[in-house]
Amino acid sequence: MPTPVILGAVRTPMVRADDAFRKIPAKELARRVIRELLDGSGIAPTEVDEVILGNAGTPADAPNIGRVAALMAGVPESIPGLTVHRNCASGLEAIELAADKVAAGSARLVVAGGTESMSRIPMQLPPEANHWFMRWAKARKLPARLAALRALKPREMMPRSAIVEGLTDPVCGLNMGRTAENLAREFGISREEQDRFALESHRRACAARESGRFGDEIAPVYVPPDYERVVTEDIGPRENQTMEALAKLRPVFERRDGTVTAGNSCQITDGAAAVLVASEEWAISHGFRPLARVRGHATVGLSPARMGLGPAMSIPVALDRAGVSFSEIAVFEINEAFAAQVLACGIALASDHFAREELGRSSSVGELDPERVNPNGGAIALGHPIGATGSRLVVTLLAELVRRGGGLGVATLCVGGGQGSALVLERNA
Amino acid sequence: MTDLEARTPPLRLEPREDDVLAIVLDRPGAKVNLIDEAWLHAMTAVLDEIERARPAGIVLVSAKPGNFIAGADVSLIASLETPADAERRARQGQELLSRLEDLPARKVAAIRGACLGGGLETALAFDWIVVADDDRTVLGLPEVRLGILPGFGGTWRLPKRTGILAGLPLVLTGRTLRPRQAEKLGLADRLASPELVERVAIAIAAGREKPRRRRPVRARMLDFFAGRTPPGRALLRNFTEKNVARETGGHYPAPPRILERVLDGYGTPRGAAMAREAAAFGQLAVTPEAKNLLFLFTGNEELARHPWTGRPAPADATTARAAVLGAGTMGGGIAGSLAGAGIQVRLRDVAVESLRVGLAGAAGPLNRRVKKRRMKPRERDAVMERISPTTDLTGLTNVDVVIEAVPEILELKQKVFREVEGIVRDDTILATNTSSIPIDAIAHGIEAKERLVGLHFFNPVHRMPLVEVIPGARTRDSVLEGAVGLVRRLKKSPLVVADRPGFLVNRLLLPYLNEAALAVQDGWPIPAVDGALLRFGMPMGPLRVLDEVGLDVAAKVSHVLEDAFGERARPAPLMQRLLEAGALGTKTGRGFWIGSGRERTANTKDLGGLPAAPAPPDEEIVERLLSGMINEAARCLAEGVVRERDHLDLGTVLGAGFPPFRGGLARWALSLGEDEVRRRLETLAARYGERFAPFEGLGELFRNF
Repeated sequence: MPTPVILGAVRTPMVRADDAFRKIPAKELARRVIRELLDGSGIAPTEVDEVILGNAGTPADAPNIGRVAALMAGVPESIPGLTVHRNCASGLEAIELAADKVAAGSARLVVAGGTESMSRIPMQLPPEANHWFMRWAKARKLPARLAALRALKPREMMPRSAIVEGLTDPVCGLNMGRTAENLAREFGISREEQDRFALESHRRACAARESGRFGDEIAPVYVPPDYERVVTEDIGPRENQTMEALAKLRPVFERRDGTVTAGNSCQITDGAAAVLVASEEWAISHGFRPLARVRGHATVGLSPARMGLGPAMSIPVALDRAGVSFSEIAVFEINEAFAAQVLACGIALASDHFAREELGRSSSVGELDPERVNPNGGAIALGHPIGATGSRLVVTLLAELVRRGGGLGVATLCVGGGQGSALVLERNA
Repeated sequence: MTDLEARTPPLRLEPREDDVLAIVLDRPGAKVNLIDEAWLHAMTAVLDEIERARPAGIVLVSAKPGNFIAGADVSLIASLETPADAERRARQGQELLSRLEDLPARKVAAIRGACLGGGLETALAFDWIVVADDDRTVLGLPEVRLGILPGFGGTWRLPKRTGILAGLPLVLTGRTLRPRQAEKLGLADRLASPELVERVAIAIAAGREKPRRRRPVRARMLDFFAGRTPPGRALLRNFTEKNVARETGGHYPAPPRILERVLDGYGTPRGAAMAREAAAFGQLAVTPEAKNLLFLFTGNEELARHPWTGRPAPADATTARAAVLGAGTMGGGIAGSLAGAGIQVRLRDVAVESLRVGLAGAAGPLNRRVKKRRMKPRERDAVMERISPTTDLTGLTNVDVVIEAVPEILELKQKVFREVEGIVRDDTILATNTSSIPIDAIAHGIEAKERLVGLHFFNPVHRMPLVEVIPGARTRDSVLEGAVGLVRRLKKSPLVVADRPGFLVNRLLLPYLNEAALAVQDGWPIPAVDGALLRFGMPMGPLRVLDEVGLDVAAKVSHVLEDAFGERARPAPLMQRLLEAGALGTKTGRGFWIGSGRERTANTKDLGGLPAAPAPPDEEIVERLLSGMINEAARCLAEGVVRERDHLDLGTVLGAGFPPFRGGLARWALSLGEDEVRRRLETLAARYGERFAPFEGLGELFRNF
């Protein structure tokens, strides 16, 4: 069976929503990384077998954004393009699917990534407004029009944020932040612990940005259409973040007794990331040194109300499939949807009780060493462009493995709707 | 052309269903249809046949993909010698089309591909015009650009169909229309997808479909007022005359005649209008302006010929990927030009900020077009998406051509080529956009000498039509050919010139610009100098050109020329003075002029203390500034900088803004005559110095004309 490897990896800067990328659609962000991947690696676009992109916001003008962005990037028309949607794990799913296609022999070279413009997710009018507009359009005569006007209820015409709608689970009825509150209570995680974790995320991201470490993975984005601005660094990590400032924030999801604030949750952000997945044989015969091998991956389901435990549930399965042990993993990139949720995962993985009750294992998976988790900060500082984050984690993880001269790494996310996904990569020394 | 082709007529009659006959335009052995002797002859025969057959309908179609009729054969127009001769030709065509128009049948032109000049005039003689809704189809009467007017009834039939307010500007400016615009103006009765054009035309010719010609009442009323009532006509005439005078500076005889013909012909019977149109055509066709413009038109096509074989060098069609090294003003402009031609571009510079400036430069002209609604945002985005910026040397392995546009420093250019020559394919063309450094000097420092060629673009790249193509001593023929093809692909004119200092355009331009600075130094007023050359027909006065180019840039080229040619190319000391004062021209807000637009005033601050001379008459200024240019042109010809004298004309018109109606520098000199030019040079030499001494080979410039 062919072994899937990763040849190149690149991402845009992560830019908090409604900032520098405000006017750039998700397809353009994706185009930038796809084109840079191909040009940067010197691979002719004709060599590509497929383009797969994760995206959650589904722009109305580019529903199959994988195809649209590929064509924009100069990938030949004859090469197909696909969009995958697994909420927060869409960008990881794209890479996992690419790896599976390579392993199955149905592709030799795949561009896989994710893209999201949270800035451009539209406000939506409720169905009642639709209904009223239809009625108005049909009312030709004056009495009918008057009746229609009388039936107009301004409250029903209020636009609603598609982001807020999208972040509320339709099955359990909870907002994602509420699921994090659930975990904070279940695992006894205090507000202060969460804030401390958030502060550390900012500190690490700022340190990485200062040192230029992210320079290896970022393709600067020149902002169209007039190119008066170029963005070379992440906009999100805060240099001057303090515990005091974090402590002042009010809980967003449970006003009175809650602990989850805007400060210890991920930022809403725009960005894209992509990698080249190839079969090891193709890579070597074409003279490339792979960045890393894909060892295995797993996606699992769990209760939507505890979706934040996704990493804790998926990591052990992925490790089993990859045939490596927890202690061998040098770096974890765990998406920081909420500080509470990442901390909960750490407790869960270390708990024998959790292992027995939830994982069906006799003993705990292992202690999650904070030093090995998100060494360059996470989504609390860098942000979480839903469909792109999975790919962004992989890009950052690869750069870290290269810096460390090799080793095993895991990229993992919790997924709204109650899923978890984890991918195991290995870079040979 | 083979024998068989020579005997095959350029159009034929074919039956279609429902008693419809098709006139099929199919010039043998050619890609485009042209109206020439054979065409007129064949059309006469076809009309005889139709008159005998008496069909219910006639359709006019072209068998050439992408072309309907490109217009009249330009060499035919150029061969006209007397007004009477030209008038007779126009009458001949007019009568043919009038006969066509009078045929008792439903007549439909099915236009697919470019339909220009005489081609559109032919279509206008049909009852209905169906137009293919695709990108290759354009319609227009561009005759004015050749200094003539549409002589086959176009000045009468076009306004008759579209109304005078829409029709007059079309004939006057020669602007071409896309299918949708043609429909909006009422020129096209119906649009159809290209595959269906002929079928729709047949349906109309057979009487199965009747398109409704609907022009809004308001437009019809306005047209009636402007074209048929005395106050309206006076208003329109007055307004248009002013516009024409402003646009042409009174240098071009065709537009006023066109205005007169269209206005007087509107609403009058065909016979009288045709007679007057033919007479006007006769007079215009033999004016020196028309001859000059016709020469430039054909000469421009000649430039595309292969430098040695003389065969037409086709526009490049294979280049898919290019790299531009250096993202300054020129690099950005070149990248935009390449991307606009559908080529994927890797744009490299050492700094992210430079890349941003380069991208902004490439996007600028596109954004302006979008703002004017001449381009859709999506079309702009598609161009910009082809440019892929980078600060490293990746993305070069697969490019077909590299164009270097880094600053004019020999060692830097060599370094850049050394960096990439090992990375790119071994058949990649290496082009250098140098304005003053010899190709061979650059070649000296690199391995791939035989793949190096000069491509000298002018600023601003998106507006300047000329590119000097410069082979070095070792440049391989196929590389030169590829470079010429690439320039054609960019829809620009490739002028192959020898690797001599300043190449052609700068070498001719600098003595002119420098002389302007010397004149200012003598106390000639800045507005008088620039004004004289504007009135001569230059698009911009020489001192303003210096300001726009930047005095620092001009100084750089000046020094190259001084090093090569010594005394006669010595830069005016005044330029140095401005440089030292930091007055570099437009980019610093002051040079010879201060400010811009209407606020522009002569820079008296940095140029104080000059002797105050009264403004000399225009002729004296023109003589002083342009005589040295003629002298230098004679040298260029003698040194083989250009292969032909015509290239001096094309180079100066397309690259230096020399007035097109004068036909270029050499033709203008010829119009003065050798004796006059020699006299001027001798007088100037006596007054201003040896730099004006007539070149001993000056006579060559005037030989065999």
